Amino acid sequence: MMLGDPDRGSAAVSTGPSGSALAEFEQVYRHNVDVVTAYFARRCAEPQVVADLTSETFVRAAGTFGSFDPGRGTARAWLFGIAGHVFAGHCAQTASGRAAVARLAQRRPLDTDEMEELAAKIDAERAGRELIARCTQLPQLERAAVEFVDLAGLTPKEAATALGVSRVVLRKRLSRARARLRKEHQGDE
Amino acid sequence: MSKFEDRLWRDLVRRHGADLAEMTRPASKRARRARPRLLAGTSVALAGIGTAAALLLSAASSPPAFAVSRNADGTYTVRLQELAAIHGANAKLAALGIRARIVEVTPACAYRVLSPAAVHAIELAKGIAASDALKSSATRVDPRKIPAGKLQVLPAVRVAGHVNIAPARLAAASAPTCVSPLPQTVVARCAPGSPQRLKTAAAPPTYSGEIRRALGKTSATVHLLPTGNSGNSGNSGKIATPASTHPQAPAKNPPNWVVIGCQVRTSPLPASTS
Repeated sequence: MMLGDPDRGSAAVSTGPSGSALAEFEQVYRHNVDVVTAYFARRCAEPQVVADLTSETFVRAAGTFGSFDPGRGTARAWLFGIAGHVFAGHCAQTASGRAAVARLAQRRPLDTDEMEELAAKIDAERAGRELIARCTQLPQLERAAVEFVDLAGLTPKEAATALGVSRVVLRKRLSRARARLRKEHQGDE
Repeated sequence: MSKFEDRLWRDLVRRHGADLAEMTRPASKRARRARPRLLAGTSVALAGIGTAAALLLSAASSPPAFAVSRNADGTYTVRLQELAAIHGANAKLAALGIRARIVEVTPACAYRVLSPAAVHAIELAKGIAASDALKSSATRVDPRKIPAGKLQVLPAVRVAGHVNIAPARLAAASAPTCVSPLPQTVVARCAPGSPQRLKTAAAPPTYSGEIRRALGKTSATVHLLPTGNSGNSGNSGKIATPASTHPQAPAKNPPNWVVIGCQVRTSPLPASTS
């Protein structure tokens, strides 16, 4: 197994002996679980919801890992793509008043330590949450571009992959969003 | 990793570990070509060499998380240092053609309708509770003694910071995703509400004999919960929770089938329990 950039899980992997896909997925998990959890911690104030959405993201990732092609983007970009879908599904369910019954069947209640860990994580993402709140006036793609690049730390290329747009479009939208935010900030002052 | 991240990883391994271990992913369609690159300077090269050396040293100095070694008598010694290495050890066992799998002992294992796996788990719980269990980070497996078509289950649990593997006592058709040591607190928690949850479930009466046999060997840890009424399964009144250990066991209605509290979680979840 060869890893290009372990921190981003950008695995250029040739699958070898039995278990290597599992080992590779473990590496992807360990290098990205923190940023994925933070992504949901910026959106939800409930530790259990953050845990459920993070868990759902990695469950889906594990189930589709066979189709992940590192040549098309890093594992982090791939995971953020999944996380976006998971959160959209969560919002749709919440908006329609449907509880996530199916997921509850698989939900693992957090113990006290985990609850405190995630509460601390949510607290640590307060600044990010405020920035997202300031971005509500921006178009969705620009908002996502700002979050992925400026908050989650993805490269523009990774963010473009996760959002399903070209790098050029991503850079343009990112630049436009930053300019608007800068302008708003100056206006506030 | 944090406790949440660690537990989530173990859940993922339970649910997808076997699939991932056997997965053969196609190589990237856009696999990078190995292009020779000129390094910008010697400092970069030296930094790279230093990093590689550090990785090698750390890898060499840390003990392996698991080991499967063959003994002269044809048996295998399975050693486990970290619960996170269970999937790796199981992949190694599979690669060697040994029909044995390590399964984590988890108190949070949910109760389920009686199933063959649950019946096996009674004996497994007995094995875990036995005085000679869980003393070592290694156990010995004899592949020749594993019945055909079955898997040897090796329960693993962390006790006082050390990972232990119980002696192999159980051969099951498939490895459960986790097993429970059935502590008293969990048994008590299981009792209320269970009949309602499991009302639509059906338990094959053919397992009653196995339960009786298992009960004959089990003392304090098995909780049988009668549910429903007008049972014709042959279990009514014949199988009882040991009074000395669970005098509060619910028995208001004649049992329709028998449910074992907090035993085994199988994957996927049985539809009848939802």
